[in-house]
Amino acid sequence: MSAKILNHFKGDRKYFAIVFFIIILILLSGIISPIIVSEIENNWNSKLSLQIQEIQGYATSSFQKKENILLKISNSVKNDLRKVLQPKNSSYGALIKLINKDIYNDYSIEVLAPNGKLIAWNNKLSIPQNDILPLSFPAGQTHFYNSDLTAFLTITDTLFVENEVFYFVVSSTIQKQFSLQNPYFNQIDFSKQLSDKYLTQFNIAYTPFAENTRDGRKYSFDLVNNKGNKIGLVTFTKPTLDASINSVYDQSSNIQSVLAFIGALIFAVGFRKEYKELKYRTSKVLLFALYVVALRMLLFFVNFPSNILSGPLVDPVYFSSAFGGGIVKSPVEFFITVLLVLIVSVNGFRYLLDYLRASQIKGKRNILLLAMFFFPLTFLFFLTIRGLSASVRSIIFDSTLRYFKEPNLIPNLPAMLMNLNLLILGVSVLLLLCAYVLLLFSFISENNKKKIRLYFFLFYIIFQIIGLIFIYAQNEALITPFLSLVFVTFILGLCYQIYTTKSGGDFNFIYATLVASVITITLLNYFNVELEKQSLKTTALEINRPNDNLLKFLINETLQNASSNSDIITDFGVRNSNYDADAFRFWANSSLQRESLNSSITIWDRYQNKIGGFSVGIEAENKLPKQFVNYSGQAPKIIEVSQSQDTSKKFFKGIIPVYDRGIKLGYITASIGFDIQNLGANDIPQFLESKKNIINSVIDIKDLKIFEFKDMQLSEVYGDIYPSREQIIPIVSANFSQDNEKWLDLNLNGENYYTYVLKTSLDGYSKVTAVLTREKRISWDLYNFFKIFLIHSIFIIITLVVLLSFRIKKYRYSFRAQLLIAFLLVLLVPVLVLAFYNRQIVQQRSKTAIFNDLSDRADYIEKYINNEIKRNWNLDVQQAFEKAGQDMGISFSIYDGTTQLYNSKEQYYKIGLFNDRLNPEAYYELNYLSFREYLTQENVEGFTYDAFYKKISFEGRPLIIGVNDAFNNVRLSFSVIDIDVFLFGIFSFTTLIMILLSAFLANRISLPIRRLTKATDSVAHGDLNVELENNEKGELKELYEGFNSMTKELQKNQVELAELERENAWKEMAKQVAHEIKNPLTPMKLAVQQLVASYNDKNKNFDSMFEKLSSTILNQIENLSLIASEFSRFARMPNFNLEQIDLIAILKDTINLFVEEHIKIILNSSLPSVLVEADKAQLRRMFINFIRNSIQAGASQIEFIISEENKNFIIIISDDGKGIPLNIREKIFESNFTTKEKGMGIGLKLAKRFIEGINGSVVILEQDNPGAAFKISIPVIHNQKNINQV
Amino acid sequence: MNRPIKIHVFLFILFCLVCLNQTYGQEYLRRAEHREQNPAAARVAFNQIENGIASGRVSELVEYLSPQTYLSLSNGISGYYSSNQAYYVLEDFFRSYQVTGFRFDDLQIEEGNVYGTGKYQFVMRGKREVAQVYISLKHAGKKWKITQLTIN
Repeated sequence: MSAKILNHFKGDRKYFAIVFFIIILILLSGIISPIIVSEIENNWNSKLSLQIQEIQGYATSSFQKKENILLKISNSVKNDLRKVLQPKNSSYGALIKLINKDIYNDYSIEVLAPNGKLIAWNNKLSIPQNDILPLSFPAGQTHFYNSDLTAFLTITDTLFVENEVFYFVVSSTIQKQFSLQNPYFNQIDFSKQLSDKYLTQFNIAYTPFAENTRDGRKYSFDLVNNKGNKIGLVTFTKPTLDASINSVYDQSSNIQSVLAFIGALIFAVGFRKEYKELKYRTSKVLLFALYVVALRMLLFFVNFPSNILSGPLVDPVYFSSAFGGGIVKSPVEFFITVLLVLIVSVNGFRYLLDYLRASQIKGKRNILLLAMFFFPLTFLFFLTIRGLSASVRSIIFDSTLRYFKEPNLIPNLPAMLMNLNLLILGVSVLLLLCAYVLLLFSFISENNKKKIRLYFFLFYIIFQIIGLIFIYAQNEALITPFLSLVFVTFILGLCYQIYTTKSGGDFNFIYATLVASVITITLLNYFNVELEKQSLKTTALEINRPNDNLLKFLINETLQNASSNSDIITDFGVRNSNYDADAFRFWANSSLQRESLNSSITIWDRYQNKIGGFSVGIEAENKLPKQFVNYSGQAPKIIEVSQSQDTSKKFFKGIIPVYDRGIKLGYITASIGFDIQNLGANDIPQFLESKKNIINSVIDIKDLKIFEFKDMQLSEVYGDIYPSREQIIPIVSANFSQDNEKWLDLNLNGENYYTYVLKTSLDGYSKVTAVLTREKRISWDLYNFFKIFLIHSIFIIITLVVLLSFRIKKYRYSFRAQLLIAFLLVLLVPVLVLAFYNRQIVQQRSKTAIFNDLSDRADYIEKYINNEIKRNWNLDVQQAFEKAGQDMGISFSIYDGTTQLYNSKEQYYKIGLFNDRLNPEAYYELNYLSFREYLTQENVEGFTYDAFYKKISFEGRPLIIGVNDAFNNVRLSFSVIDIDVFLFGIFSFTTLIMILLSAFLANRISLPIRRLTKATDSVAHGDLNVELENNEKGELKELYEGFNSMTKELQKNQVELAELERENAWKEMAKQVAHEIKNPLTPMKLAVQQLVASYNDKNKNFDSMFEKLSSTILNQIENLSLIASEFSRFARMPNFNLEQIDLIAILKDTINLFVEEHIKIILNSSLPSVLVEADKAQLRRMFINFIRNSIQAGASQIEFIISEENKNFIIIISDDGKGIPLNIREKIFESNFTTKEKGMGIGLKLAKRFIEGINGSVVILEQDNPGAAFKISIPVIHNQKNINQV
Repeated sequence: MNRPIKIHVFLFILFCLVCLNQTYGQEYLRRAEHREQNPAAARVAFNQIENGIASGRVSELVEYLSPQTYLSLSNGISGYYSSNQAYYVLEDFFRSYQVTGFRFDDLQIEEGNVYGTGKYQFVMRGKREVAQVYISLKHAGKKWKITQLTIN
């Protein structure tokens, strides 16, 4: 039964059955969703308890996973420690080396000696030494440790070595209590992880003393450790009915969209056969394009894949355009759109190329069409370039990605995808542009190389002129005339290359990709310059944005959020709370960090004494401003503090009291200072800066010059140029637009500057802000080019590899392949070696430069302090450190052993962002290996910096000084990334050029050999008409001449041999005939002689004799007739070697012989195989004859259509050559009939004879179109044997 | 007209449509910015912005988005965004932070310094919360444009 049903779904039907099934599923999911929702509504209580159980189960198992990993690491550390500590008197230095292994990088590890002293630690020190002993939890049990900024999951364990107990602590971060908006910060938040999973609010108390919630809307449960003891409490908001219902609908919608997508694909597969059978390729191309458009629309309407993806690829921040109503509203949507466009473009372009080849071969010129389409297509050409420019402009302007300022050589995922999108867009549009040009050229249909060059040159000139007219005719041209000239040159050059490529042409797509890459990167760079210019405007706006209201709003918001934070209320009740850390957390979680403003937050007790604070860019407050003293209001109070008469400097302060159940606990104040000199967050350490400021993201603030004018008098200058009176005249006398802005080109000190001037009015006076940046240097443009080209080249090489791997079976170890591999090896190996060598050198030099810079600063400090101590004998070391820090402007730290004595950035150590313990590796190198200085890399919140440590001596006291570039700005002339971009950019460009050049050379060198191989193959298959066109020189010329004369000789010999064979055959046959005829002739002669004698003798028995002898004669005559028939039959019978063969395979094999010829051969058959009983060699020879005849008749295309009809295979052979005149059609199958100069007139005769020999037929067909057509019919074999595959 | 010419003409029309759509589609929003506007309509603008935010419909805000709008949102979004980007960024924000109510508490409509502050009430993961809103406008060309939109 099931087999019967399955039989109905064979072939294409099965696809439509699947589509039908999918439609049913989509409908079902639409019907089921309300039922599920209704079921949830009716049984909400039981569902809720199930959901709570599920959430609790997931949260517990997630925690246990983290715990198990920690336990595993702890065991590993224990084993390692045992190995190191087992030998007696082993050095603790080895311990430091051990726990600083890379595998422990994500964990904090501390080892304490039996006396409780810290003897080894790694870079992620989490628990202060004093908090480890006495143990807060039994050894071997996991528990939480809350530092001021981070909650750790930790375990303390013991190790017994020779009756002594060593302690070690392993911790991993489970939750950071603050967040920073910058690219370095890595958020670790167990609560958030659970919140994101279940879309409900989670709050985890990392203490065993937390109590269950009493809020009925929430649910709490204990977190227990590996020994079953409570160590924390998880509280979450119970899922709501609305949220659950929405979740069902969302899931249903997602399932429907995925099903719709799958259905659309399967639907297309189902129509594959019908699509293949379409007669006209134009219909195929259009139908395919329509299908792709429909597919994209479908994906858009079902919001696929955006609805099932999350993360940066669907984030509109990285790219979103209003184009197409939202089909490119995120990087991934853009990718899908351009990918589908590319597929359609490639398909259409291939079609156009075939059309072009056909028209090229036909050589039919159509000037009327050329005249009709030239200007419209040229207009479209430049309109399309404008479209491409607008798209690339959108890629730059509608994205926060700064493609040329990515910090890494290989950028992040959204930037990678957008680069890929750019390339795909470029290739798609470029193919369209080439299509316009080639379509025009197809009307000319020129084959002569010189004329092709001439026509292309004419096209080039005309296109350039029209391009310039197009640019100048526009109100707002998107590109410059120069760019238009460059693009037309590239595109026309590519078109020439494509037009003159005779066959294959896969490499043309690589050329097109390269040209597309160059054009799109040029446009990207051009619009990036526009964006940079635009950023001058943004900078001016940004300078004027922090108006009084905004700054007051930010202070108000920060204070309200801080005062309502439950942590601060708790901390006010705890003695010795770290209020510095509280202040930092408020700052980090506020807009002050997001906006990278110079600001501070200070916490005061209820007596208005400062108890903690954090500040960046402005002085920390130590005393409450007098306006806030005794402030008793509930809401924030915000005041402006005037620090100078200059209005460009703004300073606001605000205060809010902190209450708990009506009791005042203390105060929080916040301050913001805004000064043009502090633009670009210069005073904020890089690891705290948000990097989201538009000034930083587009253009380096250090490259800007800013002049501010108050009532047209220069009032403020930012940058290293103080303009003269003459230099500011264009600014103050500018004609401002109705938006009160003006763009200027200024020349200052011999250099050109783009300048944006903005006029604003404030408090009754006019303010003018001018922002300037220097015009780009060409070297920088090249840097930008290579930065993106490197990424494009990666995509191009990946595409090449994928294409090659798909076609690997088709490639053979040919002479060309050997040449290509040899070229690539010879060229690429030294290039790659050189690239990596250079990179190593640059890295080494960068490291040396950093080492020297930091070392110099350490020396300055050492010398300065020693001098100060010598000069002021009453100055103690601590005072000397502080003075050095202030006077020298260098941040440093001083260590006595491993303990920090002083740090000029103390607040960062107090809040717990940095450890005050000496870097363990530095300690190891300086203490155990006795090095004098050491350079290493350290990390704070994802930001990596260089740290230099050196042994110094103050008054004979050995100390260690530490200087790093997290707080000290070290500028290198070239960073490693700059060098990487130049090196790998140039090398990747070179590599691609080398690959193309190698392929070109290998192709060129091996071409004569390949032609000779093909020709030899043709001869081997019986085609002696083949002749090589000899344009070669040297040995190859001689070889070609030799081959051609050999084939001519063979042809001549074949004719002579045939003649000889025919003569011999005739002689033999005559002999046989004579012999056979003689046999009946003798009895006939005797009978006649007897009859004559009998007649002469008047024999009385003459009548009976006559009867007898005439009978004998007649019998012999009959014998003669039989003999004649036998000979006739013998002469007609050819000697065929019949076997079962696949006709299609034979035909394909034959067609392959003509790949190098100027003809397109199409094989069209829906039959998988065509089994006939025939002579393989004869069949091949027959097909060669037909193809050769067509070529000689000037055909550009031959089509073989094979079908099955009434137990016969029908082969229709048609060409578009000059055809067969009506008057000779009847004679073409006759012997010795030919219209060709060198023809023998036996080809078609033999073909007919062969086909009839296998019980088939061949006839010439009447047709309307020019050209000739034949119909061959061969019987289908009934009993199929094993196929003799060709 | 024979078949190949018909095909050429059809292709030609198709190319025209594709290119015109591609070229001018990109600039749709930029053109939309040049509509006439009463210069004294700041209050009207604030009303429409208030309605747009209160209903969570970005389409009602789109005419007030400037080519470079500064956005600072609770989900970490911060910086200048083009009108195209701002549209979808706000759409995403309103989808995650589902508004339950919004009104301006304070409107300041002075020459050169026009801003409003208010409270944005929303539901996020089943929890009702309130964010502070700051919106400043600038008179650009012939109409008011949002220069900064902060929801923290």
